[in-house]
Amino acid sequence: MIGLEIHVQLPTRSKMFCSCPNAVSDEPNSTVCPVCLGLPGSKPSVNKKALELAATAANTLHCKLLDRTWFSRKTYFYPDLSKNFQITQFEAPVGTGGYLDISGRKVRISRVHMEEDPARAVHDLAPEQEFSLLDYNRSGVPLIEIVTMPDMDSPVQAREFLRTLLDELRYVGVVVEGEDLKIRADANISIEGGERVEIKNVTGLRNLERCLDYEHRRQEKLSKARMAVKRETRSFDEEKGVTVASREKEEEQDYGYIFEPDLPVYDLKLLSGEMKFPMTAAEKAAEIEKRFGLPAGEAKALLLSSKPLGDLFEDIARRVEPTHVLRWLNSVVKAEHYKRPDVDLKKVAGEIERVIAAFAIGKISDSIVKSAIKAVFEVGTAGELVELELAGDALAVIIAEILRKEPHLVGEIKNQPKAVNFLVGRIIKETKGKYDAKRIAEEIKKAVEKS
Amino acid sequence: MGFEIDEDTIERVAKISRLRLSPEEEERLLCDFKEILSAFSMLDEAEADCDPAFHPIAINNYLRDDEEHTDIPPDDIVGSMDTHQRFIKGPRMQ
Amino acid sequence: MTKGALEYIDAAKRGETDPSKYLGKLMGKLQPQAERFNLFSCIALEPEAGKGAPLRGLPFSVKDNICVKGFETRAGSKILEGYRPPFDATVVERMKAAGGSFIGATNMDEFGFGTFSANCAFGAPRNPFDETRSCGGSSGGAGGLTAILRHHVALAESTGGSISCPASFSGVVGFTPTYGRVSRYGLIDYANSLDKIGLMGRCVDDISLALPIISGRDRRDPTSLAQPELSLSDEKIKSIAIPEELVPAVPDARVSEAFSGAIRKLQDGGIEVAKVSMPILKYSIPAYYILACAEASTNLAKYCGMRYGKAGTRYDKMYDEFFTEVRTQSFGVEAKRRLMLGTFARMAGYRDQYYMKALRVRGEIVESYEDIFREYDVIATPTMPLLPPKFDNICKMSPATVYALDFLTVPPNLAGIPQLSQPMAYVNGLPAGIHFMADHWEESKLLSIGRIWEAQMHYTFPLDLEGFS
Repeated sequence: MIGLEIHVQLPTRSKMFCSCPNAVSDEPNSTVCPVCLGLPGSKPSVNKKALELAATAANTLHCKLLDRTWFSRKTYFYPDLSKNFQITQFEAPVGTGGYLDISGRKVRISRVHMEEDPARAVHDLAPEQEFSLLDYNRSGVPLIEIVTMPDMDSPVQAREFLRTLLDELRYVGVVVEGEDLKIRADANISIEGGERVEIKNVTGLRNLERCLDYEHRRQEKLSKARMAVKRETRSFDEEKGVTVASREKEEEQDYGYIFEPDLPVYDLKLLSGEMKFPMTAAEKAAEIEKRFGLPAGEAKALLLSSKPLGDLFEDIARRVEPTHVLRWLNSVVKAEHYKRPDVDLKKVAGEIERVIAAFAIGKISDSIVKSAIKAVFEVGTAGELVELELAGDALAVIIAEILRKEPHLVGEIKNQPKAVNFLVGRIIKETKGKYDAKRIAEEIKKAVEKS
Repeated sequence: MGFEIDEDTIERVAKISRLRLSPEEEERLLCDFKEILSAFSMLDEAEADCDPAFHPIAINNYLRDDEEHTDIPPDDIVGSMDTHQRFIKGPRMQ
Repeated sequence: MTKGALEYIDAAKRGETDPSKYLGKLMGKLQPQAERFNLFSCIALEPEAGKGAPLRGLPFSVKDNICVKGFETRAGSKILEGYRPPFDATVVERMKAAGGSFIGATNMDEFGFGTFSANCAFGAPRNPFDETRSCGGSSGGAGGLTAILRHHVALAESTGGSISCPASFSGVVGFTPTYGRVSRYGLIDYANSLDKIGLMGRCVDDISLALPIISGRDRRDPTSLAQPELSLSDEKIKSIAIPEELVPAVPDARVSEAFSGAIRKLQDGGIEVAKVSMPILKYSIPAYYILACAEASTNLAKYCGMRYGKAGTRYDKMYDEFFTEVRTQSFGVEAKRRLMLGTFARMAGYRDQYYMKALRVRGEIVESYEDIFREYDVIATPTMPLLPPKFDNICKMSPATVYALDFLTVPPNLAGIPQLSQPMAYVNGLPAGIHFMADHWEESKLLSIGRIWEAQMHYTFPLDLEGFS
């Protein structure tokens, strides 16, 4: 059984409680102010965008939004906490009782709440260093914390959950590209009949997967050897890829939560009414499936892969048969889009539509579509490939395609007219004798003369 | 108020507060706690049905626009702190 | 008759006094007296004369828990020794911009923890009326200073009565605005839902002068954003309510008598006086101390020998040991006591019974005051139940006894309603104050009753230092 507590940094311009830039900086302690440094007399103020993103996240995860939400102080002593308390949410998280569907399972989400990130501690700057070094640039960065129930059965499911979670949050703008590297999570994992082990502070999706794999195996090994799994807190050693028992229990902390008296109470019912929540990927997919008559579940993968692709689909599918649009966008177009992210989909939308439309009316074949799309991404247009097809000259297209792929043939045929015969034979084979040899030869000559 | 405040309680609270007390101070504080909490025990009988008043006045919904700006150059603040290569020094953590 | 600050401002307007020269002469006279009474945590050695209206260089002092840029601000505690804030508190910015001349930080109980300023790490300020007695607390230095300076306004702060109490004991006027009226940005926190920055002066006019300068919304302190516009005008005061459970509880008969006399005078002036029952107020002290200490215990967590203030000795200690050492050595006895009480009140297992219950009781108390103010313009009580006590007696009082002495000032502070304390009588030469209170945001009403009272009350002060000659 696996449960996760995931921390995600929000893509805002400023920090959670102050106007310092929310940006990575090479220079330590360069994006700091009295508030995020916790100087005596400073006071926090809540970032509007952060609240909106948190509410959006809670909504996306099907949580019930609280009518009234507020912040709390969680007091504990640690050098990376500038005030020795963290402003978080205790009894009034933004959302509760949500879920996320992954294949064959509903993972329940007990809460989504807002809090501030602590500073970053550095321990290995000077070898015999007898002090820690703190960089408060990260102090005050807005976070949401997402807590799941222990509903995942295996590291594989946990992996799927995390990827789905990030895809969904990315779709609604709560997470941006590259965030998978930065998410931090605590994991609770136990196996049948065993004690629960908590692994704290794992950074990045990849490490989480590795960590869960290792820990699962470790627990299974112990179980097979009839040894008890100890209930404890462990940490993940990134270099070695193993979990290790945490140091001896530190000095006691009792968080002693109180209401954060420097901040207002938020009427979330009112505020969320004013916000227009973006449709979640699941909602959008359902809406598209309904609108275009597609079987359930087909649109979601496309939408989650990229919002521009989803938008492109919605556009083209209005004029071209949706099943075709979905098929091609989900395959060749997606592949080319990933290969060439610099190509603006909006600019080539017209050409992509032209190609798919041609396929839809049966004028071009699968392989032509593939070449055409590639050409669109390479040079911005499918050019003649489509023209020839639309004109009904399938043979000419086949020949043009071959010559495009193997341009040396042009030279060969020009120099040695008899080389045409080999090509004719090849095409008869490929088209299973659909065209007679004389016609094929003529078309080849035409194409070669043109190029 | 229905439970015992004893030396263990005082010791525990002192630890959580990151304070070290001498035996005399512990004894003194235990005495103070008992006297103060006994005086405060009347709070139990107060009839208070209303919602917890986080502030004495209603303070709702104030939000700050998500804009970045810098009022004080960070160097002016960090410059007077104990630093090493721009990091702020602190006690050992491991 | 112009008393107080307006006398100086008029002279400055007419060109009869030069602000820099005035300040120089004043500081020369003030230095020895300030030392004698130990009024300053830190006096400004070379104060700059302020420019501009309306204050035109009027001297102002700042309680030691209000940040002044580049000036050592310690909140009466050793743990903040050496701390020089990189910014001015909003109220200090506003006073400077209005032409005030900052003359120094006044002594106070450590972080505000106290009723007599006896918990000041730098020595208790002594009452200019009688040096063997307390100025009151926690804004004791501010009170004492106001009692000896003719033209001056003190920025002070109240959590449970820390402006009214020293106003009463030091024989001056003390004004505590509605919670949320004045920005707390730059105030070193005691209890964030209870702290209010306010004023002390020689007369009600001093308050009317400075209140609009320091009040007003400040987006750096969200709790200051709920206020309606401050508008001061002369208002008719028709009725005064007196909480009948509180006044008989005053142990010192001389104070009760003085109060009765004062009330009779107001009645003679045509104001209706009525007794009202407010039984919920008896829970004020426990509710207040629990909430204040709970919040304070979190506010004080940041003082740990890192980043600023008193430095921990050696970083090569593990962090818990490092923190414990500096806190143990640098917090005073009362600070430790309240810190621990507050930590206890919010610990798992005790939180509901103490912290959460106190929050509900506060709600009930606020409602109770609102009920009274629907019927009556202002409420009045004596400010403190005793005359300024001797230091010899103070050190014999147990903490619980001391806490209980706040029973008159704590209820309005818990409710966040504005308060005005003015001298009502002198008993054997010692001042006693009358306390007026009004509904949230009704500062105007308070200043009106204040003027009514002042019209027929003659204040005396132990000293009258000024920089004219």
